[in-house]
Amino acid sequence: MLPQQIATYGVAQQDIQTVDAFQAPNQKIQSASTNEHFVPYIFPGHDPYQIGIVAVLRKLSELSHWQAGWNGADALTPDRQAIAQAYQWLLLFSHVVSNARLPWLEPSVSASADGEVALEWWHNRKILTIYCNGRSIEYIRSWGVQILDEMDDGDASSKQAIQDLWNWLVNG
Amino acid sequence: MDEVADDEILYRRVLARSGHVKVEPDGTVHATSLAFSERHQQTSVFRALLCRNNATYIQDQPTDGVASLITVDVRNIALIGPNEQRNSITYLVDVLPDPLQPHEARPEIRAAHAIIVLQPAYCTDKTYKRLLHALARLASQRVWIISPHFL
Repeated sequence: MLPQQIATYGVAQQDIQTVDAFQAPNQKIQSASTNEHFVPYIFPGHDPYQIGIVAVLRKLSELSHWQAGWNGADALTPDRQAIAQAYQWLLLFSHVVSNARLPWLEPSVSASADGEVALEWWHNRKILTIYCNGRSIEYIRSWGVQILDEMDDGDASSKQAIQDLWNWLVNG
Repeated sequence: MDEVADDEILYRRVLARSGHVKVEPDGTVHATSLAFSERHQQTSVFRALLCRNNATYIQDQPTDGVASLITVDVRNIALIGPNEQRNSITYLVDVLPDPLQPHEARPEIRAAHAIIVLQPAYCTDKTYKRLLHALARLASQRVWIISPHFL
């Protein structure tokens, strides 16, 4: 992907940290920097993971066009730092999933009313939501409606966390 | 102020365009947990009975979907989590009438507006997000009152 193509996704380059997720996948994403340019190492081809991730990145970029009050009420504009952070996380996620040859499932890409970016998957009665707020990346997962016994939450920023969460979602 | 009866049906407007609706590969369409997210940890719903059971009243756009919940199912969500002081307490989930003002909504739905709230108010962010999962799951167990339309 060329830098000018990144711009078409609507995520300003100055909002995003320089992290080549495909070359440095062990890096734990902490926050999005505003100081450097970002050149992801993606070349869309016939690989289903790369085709999938490009489609998701396109949806992610659309969040930058949402205006305050997008929900018909008092929702905040999706935070640009959160969008940039989600962009990085998705690249790392794609790397982890493709390396492990785990199935690809497309998430819904959305925002919370407080401006966080959210990625959500439903699979076999399981729900996994990843929230990016520009500072941290956290997950909520559930396998039933009982909040105490059938849900948990935690940090989702590391490669190991991504792999564990994805194994839980797609297996069983 | 009247109470919301346990057997009342609640309508929830779901935007079709915002990624709050997901179509799965098998064709299943469901509202995501984000479709229930609102600021201040209060999720808006409309009481079907007071909308004359006409869900079109709560649509802003013709493409909007309308999902539904049963009040008692919402109230049966027992939520135990940390409060802002990090003490673990039990939250009750309730549905309270919250009529809108004339400038906030059209006449047909003003009286029907209600909010899903936690009591005591204000849990941690993560606890509220668990509630959103529960609401999405409850809605997914019921058929759409109005299916969202994708452009």
